[in-house]
Amino acid sequence: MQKLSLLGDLIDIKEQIDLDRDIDRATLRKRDREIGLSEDGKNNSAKSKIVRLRSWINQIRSSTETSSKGQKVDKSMRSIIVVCWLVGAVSGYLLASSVLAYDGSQPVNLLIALLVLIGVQTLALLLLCVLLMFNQTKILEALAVLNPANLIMHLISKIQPTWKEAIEKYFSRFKSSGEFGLLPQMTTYLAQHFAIALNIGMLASLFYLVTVSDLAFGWNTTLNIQNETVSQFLQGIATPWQAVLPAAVPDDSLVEASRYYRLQSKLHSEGWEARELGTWWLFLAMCIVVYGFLPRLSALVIAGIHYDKCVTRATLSLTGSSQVLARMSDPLVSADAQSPEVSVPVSVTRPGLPGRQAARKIECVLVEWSGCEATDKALTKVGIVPHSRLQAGGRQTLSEDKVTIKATSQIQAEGIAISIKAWEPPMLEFIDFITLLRKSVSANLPIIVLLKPLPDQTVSTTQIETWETALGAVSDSALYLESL
Amino acid sequence: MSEFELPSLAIVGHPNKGKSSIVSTLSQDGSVGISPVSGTTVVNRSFPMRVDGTTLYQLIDTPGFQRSRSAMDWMQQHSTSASDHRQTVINFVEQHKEDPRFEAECQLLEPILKGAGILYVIDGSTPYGPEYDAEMEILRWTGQPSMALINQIGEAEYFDQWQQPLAQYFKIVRTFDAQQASFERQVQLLTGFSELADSWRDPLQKAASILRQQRKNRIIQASDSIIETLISMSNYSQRIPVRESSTESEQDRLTLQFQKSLVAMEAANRVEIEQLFQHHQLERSDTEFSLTEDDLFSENTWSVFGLTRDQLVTTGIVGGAAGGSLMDIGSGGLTLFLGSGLGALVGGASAWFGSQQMIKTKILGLPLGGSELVIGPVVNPNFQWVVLGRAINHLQHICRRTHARRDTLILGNDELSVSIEQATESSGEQHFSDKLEKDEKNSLRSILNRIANQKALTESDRQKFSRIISRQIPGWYE
Ligand SMILES: Nc1nc2c(ncn2[C@@H]2O[C@H](COP(=O)(O)OP(=O)(O)O)[C@@H](O)[C@H]2O)c(=O)[nH]1
Ligand SMILES: [Mg+2]
Repeated sequence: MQKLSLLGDLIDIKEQIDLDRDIDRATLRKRDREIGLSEDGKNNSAKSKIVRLRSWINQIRSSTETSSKGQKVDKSMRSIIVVCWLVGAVSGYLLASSVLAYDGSQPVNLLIALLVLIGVQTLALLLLCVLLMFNQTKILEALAVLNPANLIMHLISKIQPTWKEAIEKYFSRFKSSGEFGLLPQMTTYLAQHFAIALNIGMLASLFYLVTVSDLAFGWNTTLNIQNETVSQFLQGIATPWQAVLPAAVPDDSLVEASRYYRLQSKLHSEGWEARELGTWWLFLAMCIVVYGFLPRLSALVIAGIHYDKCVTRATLSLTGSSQVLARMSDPLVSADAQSPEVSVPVSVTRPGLPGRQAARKIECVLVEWSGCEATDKALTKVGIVPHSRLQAGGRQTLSEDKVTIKATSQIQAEGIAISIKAWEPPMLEFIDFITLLRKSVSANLPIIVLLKPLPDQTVSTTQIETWETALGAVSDSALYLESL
Repeated sequence: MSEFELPSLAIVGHPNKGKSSIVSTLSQDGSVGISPVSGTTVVNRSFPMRVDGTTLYQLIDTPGFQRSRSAMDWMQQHSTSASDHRQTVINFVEQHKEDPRFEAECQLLEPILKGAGILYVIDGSTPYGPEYDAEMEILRWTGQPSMALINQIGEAEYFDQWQQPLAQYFKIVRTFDAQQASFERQVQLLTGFSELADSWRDPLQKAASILRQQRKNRIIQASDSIIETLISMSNYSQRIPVRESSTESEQDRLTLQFQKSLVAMEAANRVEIEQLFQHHQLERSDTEFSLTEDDLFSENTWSVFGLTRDQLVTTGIVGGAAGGSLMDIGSGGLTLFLGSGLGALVGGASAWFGSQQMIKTKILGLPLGGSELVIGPVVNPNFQWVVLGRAINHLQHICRRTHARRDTLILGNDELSVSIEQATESSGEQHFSDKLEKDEKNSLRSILNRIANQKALTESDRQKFSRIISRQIPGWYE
């Protein structure tokens, strides 16, 4: 009986989604994808959303020991159904016993028995169908007080706090959608359980009375109705089983024989055995089966389907349920780094390269690093008079660089200027060069690094900062940084 | 020859040319260290793309070359013929593993020698120079399949200058803007890596289709989240007990509080969507939306998000007469409402609120005496359009944003009005709903109406809504 756990699943799914709000996305994705994959393993991938959602909650529930709120609700639901059956069967039994009470003085009035045992419940069922057909949910909800299942449900809520909470917190919520709500859907479904039990109770009572006592049936009316009319009416009722069970179809003579008048206090016909009149019971039993039990059985199935649909819809429309499904079916994709970033602290406190008085002209050896040409005009602007030009870096080999360093140290000049591309990052290779250069000249001979911007651009502050940081690490008090 | 069975790419090059940016964009990892100061990356970092635990490919971010000439020098001295180039590089790494001078070179060469393909990154906005030769030569010596990628960091263009030297060393040369590349470009680049090795084609194709599907799913989830926010914001109301002695300023404060709650709902949705697209580190500057005239009725905001008064009238959201009175509210009435207006309303003396108030506000008597002020929900017909417009604008930015960007995402109205002007100039589009087909526009209108009237949405409403949202996303495909 899967239907019996629908409700619990709904409640648990809702509760779990609420709990999940406090869990981070990555954890949820991992957990739900694992569930999703294990489901696919069971070939469930093509199954409907609700099946997947329910297996999701089942897997999550299975990891906890204590029974969940939903499982408690399911338990209540089961006990409600049991109570419906008990109460239904007992009521049916008692009802039939009182209608069929026969002390031998007067026969059981067949018409009253038909009316009470079949007529009332058939009318109720018809009313339900009509109201549903015309979508008169308001009236239906108002009539719910007449529904015994409703009463039982509310009684249970008095002793089962979880059930009470479920009614208040969940079932009423689904009303607001304007559709036929979950609660009436559920009571309608439960009512069918009740009614089936009722019919079974009545049948049991009938069989019991037939077995242990002699029942005589008769019919009477004050109205001037012909026997034939009644006969036709009763035979009409018996049409469904006419072919299969002719014994349960009253014939004209039986109808005529069963008519009685209370004044005469005896049956209309002489010579009929009470036993023969008793054969009416088969007719009555068939009436209960065909007009009471079977319609209720189909009503149970239909109401069950509706109830099922309603709970399913409520579950699927839970905020967050589609996210759960998405997490189950979407592959777990990650492309981010698997190791944490190892960051070198870029020294924020730069030793700061000392400034040079640009106003004073200084005669320098110019080293062009990696083919970074500096025009005389640009050099003059920053107060540098190039003495001679040498090459380093770029396509030069390291030994060629060494030759350059040697040459530089031999030229008598006021300083050394190195022109370099401002847009290229400072490489350790360049720092090596400066360190070597310094070793071959005196410690206080100015070495001026000249940043050359791209054509039509100026040296940006980021570039200056980058170079300051790099050169600052050299800790050379006669090392200067300037822009061309 | 390869220790990696799966596509592996070492991203190498000069420092500061965007290697980490490319990795960050392709792996959608916003936490990668990217800095204008070189030397940020000191050790290799691997970025495996995993799908349900199975790795499809990996990118390896490396530090840039620092002493390529010295390394080349050593290699040339230790090589006897062209046939031992690869072995020489292997020997170099063997010999210098512990040498701090060649830390960077050893790091970056290691995965290449293990079989990773080479993605050599240069910056196309700065010119080629001879300082690149040594490193390209070393890479060639490794004998591994390689591809050059021209990134563009600055404005200038030196692409032509680069073609020739790159062509000498690399068979394949591509361009890719690490910060601006569209999602489709990113996927194209990824699948393009299969040119390096035939056996890479399948896993890379699979990765591409998974990434596309993931993006689709994310957009759908984002639209679900937007619609939920829209519903909660439209239904939101606050109940506050009012005392006889309540002052007007107190009541104004309550209105402000109401407004703040709406702002918080919107902000929560922003964060959720950013998380969805893995922009965990994102900093955002957003003009808060308020229920003032400016936001719901200003020329700017309407044309961007809401519908204009004319549109409201013609779409039948409000009738002609109501349109007229909306006009009145727009010009001054609202200020009255948000200023002393609430006090007047509480006193029950305000006539003009009539049916066209901004926020539904009413006083309820409480059973135990005293009364309660109920603020909300917002009943302005433009409200849903404005909230949705703002959400779409945010989503568009998030979808477009690569994970290499570290700047603040600015979602101001100023920026918006600029983009709107541009959009109008270029395509004649004005309102986000202009991108929609006629029937989509109608469904959107009816969906927003349902939300405004607090009616439940059907599954098909929601599906239509996600389609509509998806169509607002650049590069969306069916
Ligand atoms: N505008 C722009 N800047 C970029 C781009 N790629 C990288 N950058 C910037 O260039 C600098 C260095 O980037 P990074 O990825 O750290 O380079 P790496 O040292 O090669 O890893 C950073 O300031 C980035 O913001 C790009 O495509 N466009
Ligand atoms: Mg880096």
